[in-house]
Amino acid sequence: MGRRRLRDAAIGRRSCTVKFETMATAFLTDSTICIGCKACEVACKEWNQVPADGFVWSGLSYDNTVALGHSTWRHVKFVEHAATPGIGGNSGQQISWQFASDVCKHCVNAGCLEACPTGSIVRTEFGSVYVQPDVCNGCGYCVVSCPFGVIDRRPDDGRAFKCTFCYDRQKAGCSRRVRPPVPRPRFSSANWRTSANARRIA
Amino acid sequence: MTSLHEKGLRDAELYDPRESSVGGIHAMFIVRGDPAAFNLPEQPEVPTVHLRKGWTSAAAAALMLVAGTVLAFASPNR
Repeated sequence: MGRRRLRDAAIGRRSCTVKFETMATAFLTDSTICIGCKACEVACKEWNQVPADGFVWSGLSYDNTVALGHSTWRHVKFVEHAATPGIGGNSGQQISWQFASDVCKHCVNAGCLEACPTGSIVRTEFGSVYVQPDVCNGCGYCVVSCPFGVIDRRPDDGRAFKCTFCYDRQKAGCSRRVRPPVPRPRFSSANWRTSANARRIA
Repeated sequence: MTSLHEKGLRDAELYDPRESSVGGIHAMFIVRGDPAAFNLPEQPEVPTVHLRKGWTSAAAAALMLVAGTVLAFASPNR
């Protein structure tokens, strides 16, 4: 592999063939059995030492985290559909309250990575998209380029932050931090695409 | 997914937008109902797909401006 191809692989250019398939991992979030305990949110914050994101009442929902952001790398979204007054009252068909643990999607063609002018955002060997905080200069191009509105700049710091896919833990051979405290089995850390798991969910 | 459907969760689906310009994601979600309600767009779009179109129109505009300027100075009755 030549120097140019190595460099291209390091910055995740689409033009080159990145041979990371065997190592690629993925989150699989089954929101059908999520109980909205937010233990994954807490675990993510604890491990990654993410600062507080405000202690506020949203006033809209019991979900006071509101959204993913610079200091919320994992967010258990509460999807609430209120009952229509007069029709069925508070019956189960009328009210739905669902939970979904949202996170950076680590896209295969990542908008943030393609927009980053400093090369701070890189593709790791696990297939994830990683922001190097020591390189980021806080230009904010990635923020507007994210198709899911995940990455965000920290106002007091200026740099952009998002989920690291627990790069440090995966590097050390551990699973993602969000896995252990969940009271019911929900996250799969199986190798993506290559495993039987990928076939099972398809 | 088949076992979920057998259990009666017929509206459960796997969100994995491989057909979009994002080309696939490393965080997939099994949701019930419309994924858009979970802030998971049907067709997520990487902004760089507009690059070619944007640069082409910018080049066309530049060419037209240059042509207009040249024409203005090249007119015989100045």
